[in-house]
Amino acid sequence: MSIVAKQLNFIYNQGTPFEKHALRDVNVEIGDGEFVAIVGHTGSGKTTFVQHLNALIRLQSGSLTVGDIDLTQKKTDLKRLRGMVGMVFQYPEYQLFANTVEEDIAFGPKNIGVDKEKIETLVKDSLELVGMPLAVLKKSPFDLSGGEKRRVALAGVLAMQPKVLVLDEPTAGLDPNGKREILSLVKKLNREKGITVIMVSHDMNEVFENVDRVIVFNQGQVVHDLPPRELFRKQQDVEGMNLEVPYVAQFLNALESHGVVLNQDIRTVDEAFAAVNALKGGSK
Amino acid sequence: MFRDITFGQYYPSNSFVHKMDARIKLVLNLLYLIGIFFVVSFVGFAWITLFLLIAIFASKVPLKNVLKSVKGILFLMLFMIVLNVFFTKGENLLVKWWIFEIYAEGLIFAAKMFLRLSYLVIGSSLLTLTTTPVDLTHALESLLKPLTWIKVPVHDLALIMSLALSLIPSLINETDRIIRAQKARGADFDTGGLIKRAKAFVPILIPLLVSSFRRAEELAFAMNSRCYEGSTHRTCMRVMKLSWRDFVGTLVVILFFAAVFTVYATQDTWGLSEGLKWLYF
Repeated sequence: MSIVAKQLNFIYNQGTPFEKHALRDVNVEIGDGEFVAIVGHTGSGKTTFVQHLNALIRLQSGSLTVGDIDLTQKKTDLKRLRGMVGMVFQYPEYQLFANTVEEDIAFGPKNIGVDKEKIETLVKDSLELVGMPLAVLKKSPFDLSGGEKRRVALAGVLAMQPKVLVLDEPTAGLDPNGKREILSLVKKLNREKGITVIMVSHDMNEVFENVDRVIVFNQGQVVHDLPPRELFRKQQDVEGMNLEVPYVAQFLNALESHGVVLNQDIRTVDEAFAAVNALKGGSK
Repeated sequence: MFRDITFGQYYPSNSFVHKMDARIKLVLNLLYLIGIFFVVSFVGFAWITLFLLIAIFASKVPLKNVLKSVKGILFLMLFMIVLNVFFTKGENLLVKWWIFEIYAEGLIFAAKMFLRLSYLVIGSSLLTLTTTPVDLTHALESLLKPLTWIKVPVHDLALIMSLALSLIPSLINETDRIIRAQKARGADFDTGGLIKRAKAFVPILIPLLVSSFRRAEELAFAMNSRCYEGSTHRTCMRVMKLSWRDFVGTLVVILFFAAVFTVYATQDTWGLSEGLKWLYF
């Protein structure tokens, strides 16, 4: 399931005093099974871009294809598209509405026309996938804790069996433990189920640790499209766009400026520690 | 989806009308709303049209935006016109078909009603287009201040109003977001029968209710934690002051409506020929 966007432009409130040019000539190609982060500070156009992917925002100009669906066409099969591209919004727990967790998770698959028996297994599978016990199925979603609500909301999207998962700041407002759980779940979906994941994030440490590729938006334009290590090597450039550089990347950059280049793929403090230790052992 | 609500939306500009004092604008608007009911003839409506055009010109709000407000009551308008055209009985029968009879009086009455209603809406939307909700609330609070003498909690009422007003944009945003989230889950709001469509709104309304309760509670906590205590002589950050614009604006409106009232009061004494009378009354 690949996504190809060419020359996307989008202007909010065209022709009024509130006019805002949110996307300028955006060209992005995302391949099947990739794990991509989209970063940029507030108002850079990243949310506008991801909302194009399942036609919550219709194209103004340019072209966009998601899998075999051409969004340039006036008539697109929205149900099929929305089943294919699962979108998890910021604070997804605020979209819960049903009497029971079961009903809420079943809402998506029911809408895209999955038959009843299959929905039942889908609900159970996706609840298990997000690591919740089946006992909550009959509970009211409003009785759950914040982190649990978010996982239920995520299960509601996963039950639609999307091929592409778009997450808008999935870890915002969670404690470190909850963050780690959500991220490892997303990683698992990407590795084991081959789901293409597009994650909008403000937390560069999280981005650095998890993704294969970072797309940087600034004032509606794609300014960088690089693997995380290469992106954060441009420390000044990144900071100039009001983005922080992850701790591990800062450390690696500092090492490199002293002529120490670690060639392994280092993402976490632990990996950096091990690599530096190995270096020490070698030079002794 | 909700971005095109214009009725009563503030249009930022730096015009003569925008700079006028909100209290004066509110009072003048009230005068206008009353005055409109004393306009009974088409000639009178022509004058009001001229007056409105001057006011709109002075406010620098595009005519299109002002007229959009009428669109909101279009259905009501149509309903009223149909009722008046078909059910007003008079002397001059124009068309008779089956059980329907259309009289000239009905047509004239409907036309005047149409003009009056649209001018009411245009006038009041001109107020809200040129005045921020916050200023309006302050103006209302200031104007109602005398009522504190008879123990009306004016300040509290004003606070409730300004809180409600300030919550509207965030609620609209919230609604927008919930609609998007449910749409992303394949929700369909545009097809199916009446009941199916009504049901489709449940997934929007419930999260919206939940979040507005949460918001209200958070707001109450935030106010409590900063020792908010009702009406114990709070001062305003922006003190409202009158300027020359307010006097000019008031003068224009008063002169205009003095003329309207005079015409209304003296209309019986004009010696008009029968043929022209329909234009005036």
